[in-house]
Amino acid sequence: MQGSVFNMLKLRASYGTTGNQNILGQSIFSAPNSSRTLFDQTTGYGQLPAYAVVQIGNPDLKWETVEQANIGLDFEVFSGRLRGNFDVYRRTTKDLYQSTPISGINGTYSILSNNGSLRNSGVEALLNYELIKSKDFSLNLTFNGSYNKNEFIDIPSEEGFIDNGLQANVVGGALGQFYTIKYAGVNPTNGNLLFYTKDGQLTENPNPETDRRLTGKAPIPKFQGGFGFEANYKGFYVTTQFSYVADIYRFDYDLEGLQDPTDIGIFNKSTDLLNAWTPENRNTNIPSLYLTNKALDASSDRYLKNASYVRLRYATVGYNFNKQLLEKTPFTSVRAYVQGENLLTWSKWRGWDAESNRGGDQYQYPTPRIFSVGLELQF
Amino acid sequence: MKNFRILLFVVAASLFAACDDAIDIKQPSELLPGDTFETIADLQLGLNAVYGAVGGETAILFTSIFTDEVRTGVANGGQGVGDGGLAFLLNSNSGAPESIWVSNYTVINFANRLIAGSNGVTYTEDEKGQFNDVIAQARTLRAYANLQLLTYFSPDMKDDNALGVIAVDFVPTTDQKLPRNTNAQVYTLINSDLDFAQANLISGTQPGRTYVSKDVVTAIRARLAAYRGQYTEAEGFADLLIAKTGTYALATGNGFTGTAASVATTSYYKVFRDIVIAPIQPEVIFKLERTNSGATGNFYQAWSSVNSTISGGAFFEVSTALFDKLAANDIRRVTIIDPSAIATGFAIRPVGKYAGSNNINLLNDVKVFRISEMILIKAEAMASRGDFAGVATQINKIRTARFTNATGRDIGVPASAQEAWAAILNERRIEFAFEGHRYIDIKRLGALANAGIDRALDDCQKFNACTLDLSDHRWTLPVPRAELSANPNIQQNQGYN
Repeated sequence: MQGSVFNMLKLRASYGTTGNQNILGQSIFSAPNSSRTLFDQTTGYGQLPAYAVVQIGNPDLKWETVEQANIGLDFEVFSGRLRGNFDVYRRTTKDLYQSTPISGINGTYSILSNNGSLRNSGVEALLNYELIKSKDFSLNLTFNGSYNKNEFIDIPSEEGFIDNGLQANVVGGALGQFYTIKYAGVNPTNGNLLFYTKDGQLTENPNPETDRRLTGKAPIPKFQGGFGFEANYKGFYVTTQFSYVADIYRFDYDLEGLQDPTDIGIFNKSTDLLNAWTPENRNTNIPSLYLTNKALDASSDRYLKNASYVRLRYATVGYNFNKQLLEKTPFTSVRAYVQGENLLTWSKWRGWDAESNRGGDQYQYPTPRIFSVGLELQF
Repeated sequence: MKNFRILLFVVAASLFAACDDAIDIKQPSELLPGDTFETIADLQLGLNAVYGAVGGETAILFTSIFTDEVRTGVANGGQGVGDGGLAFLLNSNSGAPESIWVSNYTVINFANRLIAGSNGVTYTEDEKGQFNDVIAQARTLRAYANLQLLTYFSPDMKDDNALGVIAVDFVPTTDQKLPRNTNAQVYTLINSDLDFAQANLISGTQPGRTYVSKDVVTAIRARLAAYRGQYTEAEGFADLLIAKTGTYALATGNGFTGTAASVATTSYYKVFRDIVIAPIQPEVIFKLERTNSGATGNFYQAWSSVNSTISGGAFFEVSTALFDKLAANDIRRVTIIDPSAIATGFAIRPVGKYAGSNNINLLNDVKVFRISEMILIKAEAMASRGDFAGVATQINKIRTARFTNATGRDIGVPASAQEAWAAILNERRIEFAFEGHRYIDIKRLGALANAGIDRALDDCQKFNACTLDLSDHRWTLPVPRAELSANPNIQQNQGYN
């Protein structure tokens, strides 16, 4: 490597298979007997004690197995000023433990079982670049990011399809892919909602069973990561860290509630409703306050929103007092800083908080914004 | 040194033995199906679970909103509006079909598990009657659950070859994907259950009316026959119960003077507040007991938020069209509508039939069979054979009990079959308001009576949903999506695809 720009170059590769027996929760004790049908004493009719079946057993349960292959490259170039690593991985979970529909004659509509293989494949990168490094001033840029593709590669049911209502698991699609009617907009003639049927016809009254389509959208981000910089100038320093998530979709039920005209007078509403359809205001994306097919939007992608965001995770501005200044004081170091967390977010998401791993959000606490002021004294 | 070798051997040997607890966790407290039922007392505990699974609230609430029993109330916050309930929105994603389907199959499943478990129970010859009684009760409840399923999911109960539901008389496995049976096949299962129950139930009449008795079996048979249009049989069964005048007397409005305070003195009111009337309970043949350890009742947040009074936060109120049918001297007016409405001149009309019991608001037993249903089944039988005077007699029998005086009480003899059916449908509407009958009644009798959904313009115009054609597919519930997604062999009802 001598004479080249590389200070360090390392190639890594790994392959392994692991079994996951903690299929539910953090330990095997979360589901110690799911293979067996069990009765238990419950409270029955008229508050009398009763024996009822409390668990339908699944005798075919087995461990999930995870096959993981990974190739990585670590490097340092330009005298160590640019450091980083790249990783390419593929992780296949076989016998994925998930909710599987069963006939209602069992007294319930779903059971947890090993059902299908899920593959995550993607790349990860981590970079650190010392852009400027001098006595008084230094500037350091950081970046990390990943692209992940999540897809089912096998679903053993006859249809190769698990229909969970608003979401469906299908070979080639991501876990929890949204499966909804396509929303078209507001009918200019009467202010009702318009939807597309499966073959693209406009309708006010779609069939929530048969007019659903696979959307290719899922509550799992394809891209995520972060970036930031650290700058130092004569004791003053600024540190920032941004994080981002892209290509992720979730239901914005907070927005749905705020735009729902059927409970005006009971709940707070969005001023969007001022733009509602009226015979004089036909060209609008807010339906009539007296629309008659409001309920159907629950099966549609009307409130399925892009939840991508870039967020300033934290920013710190501070000052490190000069050691020479402190010589005659009892302190070995003094540092003062102001820090803010989650101060700024850029997103099209209109609900409380774009950041969440839930498929839909309503009435959830948003990520808090935190301001802190600090004075660090070391003796 | 020898000792050391022995010690080494012991240590080495111990490496090959281990406690399996961590990998094979079978706790002694686990109750496996084969171990659950060993004695008749165990079966009794299993039976308590079967009874506990019998629902009814969802069907009652669905019926009231989908048909014409309610309008939006003073405290409506989108209920029935945002979800399309009042606008006849009904599809395979709707909540009511999903709940009615699975709750009845839960009853059937629990009963089947009990029956399967009973094979391992040993009993003496003396205990045989007791053993059979438990099984008979479970089978009666299974028959009732099947009747409920057919009521909502069979497109036409009068047609034996029409699609019924899945007839399940075994403990299913989770991989079974069964198609629907025909009505005839489900009727065979129901009848075999009822025959067994009739032969083996110990209780002829049950004093508290909250458990199954032979009278309940008769009532199920009467309703089933009426729904099937087999009126000769239906009348025969109804007559058996009507004849028990000492046991199943009609409750009355005697004592009602028009004031809210006087309502509470009537026996009709007491029936719906689950107040014990000594020595013999009138009216009710079978009801589902509802006791609640919590602070909320089984109809909590159904039609009202907090309680059923005018200030109790009524999401829904009694519809204008139904209110207009109710006479001031009819005790049913101030039972269907909470008596607190009298003070406002019925401007606010909260649903009052499930006002509460045991000092808990909105907690009431679910009335499954009442004697008035038997009388009106008899009236249907009479209408079907053209005995219009008989129809009037039967209806007036009920009205005489409910009215406090003769003003506007008796109906005249209907002049035609259509008028007779209309009179029956109208009386059923008042008599069984908020008891889950209206949906199936319009479906069964609407065409005969030339009547259907009856909503006042003010109640329905804003949803553009004032009437629903009697030939509409929504008079049969859809097979829920949850079933369709698990079971590719199930057949959806027509119109929902």
